[in-house]
Order: sequence, then C-alpha cells, then structure tokens
Amino acid sequence: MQIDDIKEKIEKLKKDFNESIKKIDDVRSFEEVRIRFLGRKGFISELFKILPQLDNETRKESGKLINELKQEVSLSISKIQKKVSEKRKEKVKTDPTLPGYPWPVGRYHPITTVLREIKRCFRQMGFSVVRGPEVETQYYNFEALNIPKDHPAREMHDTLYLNDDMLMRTHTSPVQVRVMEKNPPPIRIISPGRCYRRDTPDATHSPVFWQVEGLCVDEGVTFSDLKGVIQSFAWMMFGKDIKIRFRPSYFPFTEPSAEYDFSCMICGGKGCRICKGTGWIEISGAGMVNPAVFKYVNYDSEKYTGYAFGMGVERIAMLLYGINDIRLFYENDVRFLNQF
Amino acid sequence: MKVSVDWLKDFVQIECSGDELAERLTMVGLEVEDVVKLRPEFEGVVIGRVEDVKPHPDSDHLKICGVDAGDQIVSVVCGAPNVRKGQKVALARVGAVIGGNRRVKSVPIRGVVSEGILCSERELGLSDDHSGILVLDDDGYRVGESFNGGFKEGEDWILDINVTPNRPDCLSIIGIAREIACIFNKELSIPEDSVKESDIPIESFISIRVDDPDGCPRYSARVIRDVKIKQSPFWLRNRLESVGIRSINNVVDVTNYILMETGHPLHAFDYDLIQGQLIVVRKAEDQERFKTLDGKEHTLSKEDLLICDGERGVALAGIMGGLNSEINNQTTNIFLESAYFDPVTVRKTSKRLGISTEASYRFERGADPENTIFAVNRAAKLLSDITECKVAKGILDVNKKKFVKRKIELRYPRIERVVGIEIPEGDVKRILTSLEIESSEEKKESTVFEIPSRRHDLSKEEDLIEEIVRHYGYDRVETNLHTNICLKFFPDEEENLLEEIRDILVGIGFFEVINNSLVSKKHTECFVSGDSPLTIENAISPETKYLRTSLIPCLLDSILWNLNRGEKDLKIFEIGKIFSPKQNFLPDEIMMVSGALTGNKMVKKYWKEEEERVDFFHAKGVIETIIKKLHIDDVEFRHGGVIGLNRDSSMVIVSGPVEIGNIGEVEQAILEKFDIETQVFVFTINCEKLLSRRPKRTRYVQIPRFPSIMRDMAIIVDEGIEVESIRSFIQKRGGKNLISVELFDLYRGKQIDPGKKSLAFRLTFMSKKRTLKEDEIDPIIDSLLHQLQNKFSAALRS
Repeated sequence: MQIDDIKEKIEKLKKDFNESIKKIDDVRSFEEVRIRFLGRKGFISELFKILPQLDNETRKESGKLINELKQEVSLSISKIQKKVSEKRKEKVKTDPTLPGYPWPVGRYHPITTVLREIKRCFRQMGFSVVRGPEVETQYYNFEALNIPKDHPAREMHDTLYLNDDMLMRTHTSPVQVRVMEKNPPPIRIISPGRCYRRDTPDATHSPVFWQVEGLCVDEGVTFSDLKGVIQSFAWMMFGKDIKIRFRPSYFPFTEPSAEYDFSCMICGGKGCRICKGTGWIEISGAGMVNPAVFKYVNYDSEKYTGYAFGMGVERIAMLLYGINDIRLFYENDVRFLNQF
Repeated sequence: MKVSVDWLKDFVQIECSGDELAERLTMVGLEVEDVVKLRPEFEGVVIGRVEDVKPHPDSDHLKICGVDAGDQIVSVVCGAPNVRKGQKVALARVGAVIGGNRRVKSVPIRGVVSEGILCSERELGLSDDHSGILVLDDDGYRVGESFNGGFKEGEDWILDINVTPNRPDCLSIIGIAREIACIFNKELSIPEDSVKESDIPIESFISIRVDDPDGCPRYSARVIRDVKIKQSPFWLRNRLESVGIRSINNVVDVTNYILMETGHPLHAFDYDLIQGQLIVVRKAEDQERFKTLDGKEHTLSKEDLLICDGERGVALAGIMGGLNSEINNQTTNIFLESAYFDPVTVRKTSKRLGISTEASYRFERGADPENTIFAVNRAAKLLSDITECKVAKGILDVNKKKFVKRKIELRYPRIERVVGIEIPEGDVKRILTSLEIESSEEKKESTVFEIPSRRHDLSKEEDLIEEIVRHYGYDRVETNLHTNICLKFFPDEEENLLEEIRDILVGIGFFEVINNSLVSKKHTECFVSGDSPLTIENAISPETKYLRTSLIPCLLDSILWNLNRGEKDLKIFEIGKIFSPKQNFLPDEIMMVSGALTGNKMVKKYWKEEEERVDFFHAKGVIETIIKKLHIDDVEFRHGGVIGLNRDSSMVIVSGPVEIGNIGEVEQAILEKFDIETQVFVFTINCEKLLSRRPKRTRYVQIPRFPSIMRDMAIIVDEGIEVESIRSFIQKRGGKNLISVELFDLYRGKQIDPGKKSLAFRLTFMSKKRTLKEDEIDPIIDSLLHQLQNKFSAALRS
C-alpha cells in the first residue's frame, strides 16, 4: 500500500467521523461513536494494524498521520463527552432549598460589644482610650484619690489585697492619677478595664467586673459640661429620648459628686419593674475632680477644673440586652454567647 | 438608716407625702432606698383601765377582767399573764377591728361571755410581741380615749436612707430634719434640753481622768440616781421599733433613742459596778483581756482605747460597753457617758476586733464634739420624763482638745467656674444659713463661712460649693452640649492589635469568652513552671485566691461548662492578662490571647461534607491566619516541650529572635484534672511580643508584571522525615526565581511502600525582570530532585 492510499483512508475516516458526530444526541449514541472510532477494535486501531505491512519510509509517515488523526478524534470526542455529560446533568435539577454552606459564625462577648460601643461614643466626643494595671498600689487606688487609710470611705470598696501595699484595683479611677502624673492638662480620656471586689457572686455582684472611667481636665471645665457629655452618651447609647438625672452623692475624689440616672429605657420613664416604678435607672457616679486629687498630681486647681465619671459595663449591657443575672457574663455558655 | 416621718415632724414641719419627701431627700444626696407606709391595723380600739381581775371558774390561766372603757365597765376574758388591776390597756370592744380585718364579737369563752379583747402588740399589728397585753400606764392616755397606736396622724412613713460615709451628721433624726428644713425652707426646732437636777453635785459621785486626749478629745457625763429599771412606755418602744431598734429597758432605750435623735452615741453604766468612783480613759495594755456586754472576750492591743474604772476596763471606747458594768434589772444608779472619740482610733479597733455597732459606726465617721452636752442632757431629761429618778447636779466635761471651728472663704465667681452656672448670692446665703453654716466675715466678692463642728466633710471651698448646688438643685444646672474639646490624644497600638485579633478570631468562627482572672491553685500550675503565682491575702475562697498565670485553664473551665450542657463542638478564645510576680514592684501584667478547640470542626454537619474532628492543624492554622493577616512574614514553628501540651506535637511560634506563642494538644493528665474526656487543642499568643514583630505599616510592592510558572513535584521519602525540612530545603536550593514551595498533597497507602510517604509540592517560579521560559525550569527541577535524593533519599514518584 502506498502513502496516498493511507491518506485517502484517513480522509474517508475523518469525513465519516464528522458525519457520525453530528448524529450524537445522547450518551448512548456518543458511546457508540466513541467505540466505533476509538475502541480497541475501532477504525483507528484497525488503521494502526496496517502499519507493520508497510515499508519503512511509508510506515514512518503513515504512523505520524494516523497518530495525528487519533489525537484529533480524541480531542473531538472529549469535547463532545463534556457536552453530553453536561446535558445529562441538566436533567438532575438543582434543589435550591438545600442548606447553604455554613460559613463559620464567631461571636464577640457581649461585654466586648458594649465596651466597643462605649468607646465609640466617647471617641466621637474627643476622648482617648487609656489603659492601666489591674494590680495597683494603695497609693493609686485610694490615697491619691483622696481615700486615706482608715477612712470609712474605704468601706465602699471591698478590696482584695495581695499584701499591705498591693491590691486588685477596685475601680479604673487609678488610671486618672497615672495619666495626670505623666501629662500636663488638658486631658480628655476614658479608661476601660477589669476591676475586682471582694464580693460573693450573685445576680447583681461579680468579683470581677468591667468599668469605664472618664476624665476631662482643662481650663473652664464645669459641672454643666459633665452633664452635657453624659447626656450625649445617653443619647448615643440608648436613643434620643433618653433623659438624664444627676443626684448629689459622695465620692472622695470628686466634689461636687453625683450619681447619674437615665430615664428608664424599658418604660420610657413611666415606671416599671426594671426601674422599680421610679422611671429612672441608676447608672453610676460622676463629679468634679476634687482639688485634693489635683494636689497629688501637682495640677493647679485655681487654673484647671475637671470632671470625672464612671460606669459599669455589665450594667449597661444588662440594660441593653435585658440580661438579668451578671453571672451569665462569666459562665461563657455558648448558648448565651450565641445570642449577641 | 431608717427614719420615721412622724419622728421627723418633732423637729420640722413636713407638709408632703412620704413618697414626695423621699424624692426630695434623694435629690439632695440622701438617697432613699425604700419607702414604707404604715397604717394602724386596727379600728375602734380605746384606752381602758383594768378595774378588777377575777379568776375564771373553768380555767387556770384565764381571768375575767372588769375594764373601765370610759362610758361603762366591760367584762373581758383575758389569758395574758401580765394583766393586773389598775393597768391602762388597749381595749377592743365588740365592733372594733384588730389585726387588719378581725372584727371583735361578743363570744363566750369557756362559758363566760367576753365583751372585748385586751390587745397584745401583735394583735394590733404593732410588733411581733404576743407575750402579754400592751400596757399603756406611762403614756399619758386617758381612759375612754381612742387608742392611736403611736400614729398621731393616722399613718406614718418609714424611709430607709442610704447615708454616704461623709455625712455622719445625717445619721440622726435631727440631722435629716435639718436637711428637710433646708429643702422646704422651714425652721428647724431643736428640742428642749434643760434638766431638773437634784442638789447633790456629780463631783461627789465620780471623777473622770482622760489619759489619752488624742483618742478621746472630749468626755462628758452625768450621774442619775434612784432609777427603777423597767420597760419603757409604749410610745418610746414603738418609735425605736419603727426604726429597727429592739427595746431593752428604759435606760438602754433612752440612750438608743437619743442616739437616733441626735446622732450622738451614749453609754449607760451601772454606777454601782464602777469601782473607785473613778473613770479613766486610757489606751489598753498589750494583750489586755476584755469582755464586752455581748459576752465575747477580746484581746486588746496598745492601740485600743479603753474606758476604765479605778481597777479595770469597763467599756471599749465608742464601740461597746463591758459585761462587768452593764445595766441590769438591779441597777438603780447610772453613769451616763457622752464622749467624742477619735474616728481613726475607733475604726481601727472596730475593724481589728470585728465589732461594728451603731456607736462605732457613728464615731468612726465622725460624731459631733460639740454635741456631747446636748445629748447627755436630752437623755437625762427623757429619762426623768418617763421614769422617776434623780439627776445629780452638774455635768462632768473633760474637754482637753477644744474644737476650733474651721473657716472657709467662698468666692462667688468660683461657683460659676466649677458648676457652670451663676447661683444668686441670696440663694447661696439662704442655703448655707439653713444648714447652720454661718457667715463670719464679708469681703468683696467673697464671704468667710464658719463650719459647724458636726460637718467634718466640709474643709474647702469646693465642699461648700457642693452644699450650695445640691440644695440649689443639680437639675437646675444647664446641660451644656457646646463644649471645647482637647485634641491631644494617647495612642495605644496594643489596644488596636487586640481588636484586630479579636476580629480575626470571631471572623473565622471563634466565640469570645471572658473569665475571672482570679483562679484556684490548680489553674496556676498546669501550664507554667517556676515562680509561685501571686496570691490574694484575703480571698473569699480558694477558688479565687491566685492570679492566673495562663489563660488556658480558664478556657478548659469554659469547655467543661459547655460540654456538661451538651455543647461539644467548641472554638473559643479569650483576650486577657496573665500576671507574674516582680520583686518589690507591681507584677508584670502580660496581655495574652489564648484559644481552644474541641469536637467537630463544624458545629452542625453539612450535607455535602463528611464530619471532621478538629486537630492540631486547625489550631496551627489559626496562628497562621493571624500572622498572615498581620503581615508577619518571618514566623517559624519550632518543636518545643511546651508545659502542659503533648510533647510530640506542641510547637513554639517564633518570629525573628522572639517567641510569640505556642500551640499544641492539652496533655491527657491535665484534661483529667479538669474532668474533660475529649481532646482539646490550644494556642496562645503573647500580644506584646506579637506587637513588637508587627511591621508598622506595609510598603506597597509593585504587582508582578511577568507571568509565573508552576511545577508540581511528587517524591517519596521515609515516614520519619519532616515535611518542613524538605520544603525549606527546596526553597533554599531552588534559586532566586523560586518564589514559593507549598505542600499540596500527602499520601500514604496503595502503591507506596510501608514506612514511606508521598509528598507533592507545588513550586512557583517567577522573575521580576522577564518572562521565564519552560526550559529554564527543567534543569532546576532535575537538580532539585538530584539533591533531594542525596539529602533525603527521596525518590521521584512516577
């Protein structure tokens, strides 16, 4: 056989193949064509079987041509196979009601979320966030805040002591002193953090709790400004209908001192179970920085005035979310955490 | 402190309801925590006199009493043991109502008709006392008169006031009344304190010596003789009861009544038990023993102030009297002490001995040194009003440290500088005068005020300003929403880092937990060695006695809590401080992030996937994610025997020269200590160290302009060879254009000999300068394979 005969056979096969594939319309007809051309006894295999009968020169060229043919056919077949199998898939309809992929959902602890909100509010009002140590000295926790040793005011703080001088801070107010010691006025900071008291845990007490302390010192700072900042915070945190109320109180490090209340966010101030019928929710303490404190940090109280305020993070979280037991924050039950 | 509005009305006119009064007091800083309205639980009860007591024919204990009800004699059957002829009693006749809703009827009792009831206090709802009938002999009632039960106006209000520690002057009815007078702009009427004295002077009975004038600046006293100890009249008992004080006997009740009224603690001694007609106020001897009247024996120290007679201690100054000189039923003569003790001395002793009394509570906050005479006179007068007695002539008053009134200059413009509003001078003066803070010198734009001795809390200008504003009204201070702000700011990079890490961990599905930093011994031992942990001296329980040294034990607690509640697939983390002691300084507080994983990777099984347990690599992946997010490029994981973690797998995380954390699986033995029966994988990062390795700001690098070439390479090596050693070897030897080598498959099993594993790496080549050609790569691959063969006996997998 001559090379031209081979070429002719190849051309014929090609034509035949192109005709055949046009008729493919399902898997069965596809398989039939595939076997007819590429099967072990298919046309192309048959064609290869001719090769040994040829002389060297022709065999070499024919082999190359047949191989090319095989590649061409294989490529077509695989393309068609894709189409056919896609067609087959189309028949199994996608059920879009199946659950979507469960991308992981983590949770922030509600204290974190509330703390972030508090920080956001005060940052908007130009406050910086400063942190301080949780283990403190008597000096920073008490003395420099005008709470001398053997003063009954220390009874307001049930304190955990490490030794005569060191203690677990009972409030974040020591950070006030630390900041003022190192920086001249003006100061405008809040200081969030963990605090500790010698309390047995119950629904309203936790031996560890979070507090945010605020301090502003400058020339011309007044009690009236303090009320403004607290009012603005109340609006940002609880909504624009919230009213504030300041009541006189006592903290050794402020003078005048106040407790501040928000109008009850549950009943709108009409009186309900949460506000014990008063229409007001007690939030925390505040006041004008006592000049005695300024003395400790060498601020001139004739020139500068300042205000300070505090708040309990759990308390605010409990009000925001309707949580009724402070211990829930420290149990870390995922069924609790998953709600925030 | 509980106060009765009825009692307050002795001293100030009150025209509003108890509720409104409570509100007004709260708004001047005397927070009323509770308001209780009291009304009599009876109606139609009258005063009767027992004219006749006869035995009941059919009972041993019942008596038939003829009671004069004013209009007629009523026959009443009575079982009270204390009924006597001549007593004035509360008689509920037929038709009267007692105990809230019980209407009294005419009923036969064992055959004898009773036309009423002689009431006990309990039957009238006045107290729990049901030991006998209420006897009203000393109360000035007239027979036939309607009995009001102490409710002069038909009702009373009890206010529970939270008096802040700076206001001991308000720990009294008069103190509160003074505030009320200021609130409503009324006069305060101070009660009469003149005493009818007998002729014998007090000096002939006793003398007083104060050895420690610092501890006892003032000691005043009276002697009262021929007192008969008995029950106090009803009105007095009733008032004490209403504010929560138990009635004892007339003498003790009088001291308590005056304590409540004036705020000044008094102590009554049995004069005849005082030895040597002498009172000495001195410091106790070290180890001196003393028995207080509650029967408890105390060992005193040199710091404690002791009231002594000629021979021994008779009272713990300002705290509690002694058992040896207590008023008892045989007492006839009394020595009445009205002293002013140093607050710190009283507080120290009270704290050390663990005794807190109404007296010590007031002394340690600061009683009024100028009030001793008034108080002792009031007591003497009251006692002689309610019981027959002779008050010895004169008062002993040892006043070694005369109290000097403080003076404070108030500059009017200063008020506005502190408060932010102008308060008219007229209001300022009215408020201060009403609080008995009198002006002593007028200056231009300022006034010097004299502070009464009861106000220890007023020592500077701001204190006066507070007095003014709190009565002027905090609510009248404008809420200023236009304020200058200071733009100085304090950067805190660590805080930012913590927030970023939190976001990453929550983003990949972790739950944030917060635990107490105070833990048990066990919690401090599992994951650290070395220094003993910081210890709380006065911890409430051993469970919270130590400062934590690792966050992981707390995470194990949280895991157990949730496992016990059926939540088994957990990924949790905490950001918080651990503590380590430092010689003579505050401890190191190190901010850490730790996380723990247990159970299945997914909380719920997904229908398209197989369930997968979390393992070491999930923990490792968390760290890899964080460092990738934070662009810390040079992190290496090194084998490290991390304490508490499985030796084989635990690794330390190193960046440059800094160890920033570790990962691993918690040791079985520790899990057992925490009662956890499942595998737990943990990771820890030291935030401060992480922060030190974090690039301040990444610099933009030009996006590659030339395409990269990828080649896959599969080799077979011995099981014992670590992948990272091969990977880094390839990375190092692959030339400068090899930009990454990543393992993408690990295979053991069919076609691979036992003891071997097949590793497939993907190598990416790229040049910054030009497009690489395929045939440049081939020799590199060949060379790498050759080197791998030499170094690791690696075989190419065909």
